Amino acid sequence: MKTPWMFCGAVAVMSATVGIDNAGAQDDRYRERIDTTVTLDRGGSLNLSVYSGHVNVTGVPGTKMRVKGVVDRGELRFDAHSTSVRMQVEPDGRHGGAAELEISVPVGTRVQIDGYSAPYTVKGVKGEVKLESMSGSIEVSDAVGRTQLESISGYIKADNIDGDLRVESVSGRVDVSNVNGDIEAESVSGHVWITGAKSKGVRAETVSSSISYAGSIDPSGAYSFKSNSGRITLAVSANIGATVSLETFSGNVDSDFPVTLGAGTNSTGRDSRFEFKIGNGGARIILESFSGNIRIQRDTGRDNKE
Amino acid sequence: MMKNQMTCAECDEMFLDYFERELEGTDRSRFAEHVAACVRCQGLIRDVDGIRNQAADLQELTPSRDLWSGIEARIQPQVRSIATTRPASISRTWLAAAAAALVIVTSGVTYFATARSVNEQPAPKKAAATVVATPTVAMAPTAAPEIVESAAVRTVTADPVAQRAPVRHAPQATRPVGSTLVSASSVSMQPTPSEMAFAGEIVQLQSVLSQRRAQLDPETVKIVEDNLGVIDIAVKRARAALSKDPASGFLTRQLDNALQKKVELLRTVALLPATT
Repeated sequence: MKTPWMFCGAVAVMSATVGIDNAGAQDDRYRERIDTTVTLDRGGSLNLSVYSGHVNVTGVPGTKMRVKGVVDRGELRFDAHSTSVRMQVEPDGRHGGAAELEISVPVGTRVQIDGYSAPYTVKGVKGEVKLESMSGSIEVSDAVGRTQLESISGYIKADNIDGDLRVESVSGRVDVSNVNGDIEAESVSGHVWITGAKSKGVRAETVSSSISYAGSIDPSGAYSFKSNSGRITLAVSANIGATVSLETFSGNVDSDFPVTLGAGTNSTGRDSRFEFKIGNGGARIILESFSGNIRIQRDTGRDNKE
Repeated sequence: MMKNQMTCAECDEMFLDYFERELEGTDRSRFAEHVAACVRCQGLIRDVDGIRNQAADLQELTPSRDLWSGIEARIQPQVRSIATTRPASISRTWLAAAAAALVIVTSGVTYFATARSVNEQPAPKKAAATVVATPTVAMAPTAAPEIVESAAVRTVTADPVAQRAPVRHAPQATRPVGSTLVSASSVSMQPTPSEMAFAGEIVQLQSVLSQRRAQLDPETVKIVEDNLGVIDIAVKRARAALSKDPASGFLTRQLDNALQKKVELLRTVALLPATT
């Protein structure tokens, strides 16, 4: 999101210790508390970098951003402009830098957070969200616009996203629900579950873990689900129209829909390729696995989670 | 005067040029302006600089002639471009950029190799009467249990009545464990173009991982290595299957995808921030 640079000159710049009180108690000598409120224009951005702890960001009406919490054995750098706020927690020592932060931002704020093991929750910001974590869990709900979530081993949950979503994980589970936009989800060994999607484009790939998709199939949409050894489950309504291309080397295929073999069907003696139509065949669905089983389910009422 | 502030996304697109010192004019000043105020981008530059410093101690790796013999015709323009515009001293010390460039090249190679394989697949039968899949390869003992479990024969009848009924393909026979084990190491097959193309970068990135191990969180390293193991199993399985059916575009894609995933994971590790 581009911000007119001219506004930056007219805003207050806060740094380092604004609103931060050093606690005097012996047990809290390495702990800093922060409770400060700044003005942040609608459509502005919050950029936060934190090593560990816990961060909750919530969207609220108005143009005020409030930060409340504590920083343990670290220093909070805080730079605020009317269009952007940048916060960074710098550890004092190797194990410092933990922050427990409750942040409220104006609805429409673009939120970007990166960290190591701090779990994040971002709720109701109704703006673009980009979160990166090493092992901390990531939970986002009610985002609008492009949403990007990445974690190595942390659990990723995205709910009610109005916009395109990209999720990357290595071993953490990915739970995506109610996305109105294109979805890209990748993992190595973390399960990828997508429910309630209203997407014209979906691409989900794993290596060893399962993929489950339950959602609408747009007649002009393209859907691709690929796993090496994980199970793939596709649960769609009975009245969809799609051309399904399905290929597996040694996985089993289980379909509630009639499979009429025809053009696109092939067997080379080892791997098998099916292509068949459901209804008018409008959408394009690709299902591929090496050894994982593939299941096409007729309705979305069943719990696909393994 | 109105001036647009650069976003991190725009900045990301300019990093390679920045590290190659090719940013000029307005782009350069906007980039510098953004980085001066952006903690995230400052951190990224710090991390990459760290990798570059470590990479400076590495020996220069030169692609073998074997690599070029298979793919030169397709990627020569990109390779010539890089060689003629980058000073040799930068190429030696700037491993991350080289890795990124290699990814671009190898992605192109993979694309061409895969596309070619797919195009060379036998044309689908117009009305196949019977589809029989007889997996001829089981996995090494280290493979996941489902590998053996899924070794099955499936039959799809072309009977019109049966075609309209829901399909259930259940295993009819399961190969006993170890009955036809094929160790990946025993599979003799020429490396595929993508294997050759990825090989150099994988070696380089694994070297970076080894060197950075002490700086990274041990738990994260373990998770990464466990998942590299998962990918390696996928690579071995695809390779073993491909050795039985070298013309299979599907198996080639499986192998390519697994290799691509391995490179992506290694690149992620190479750019992880240090804990120390």
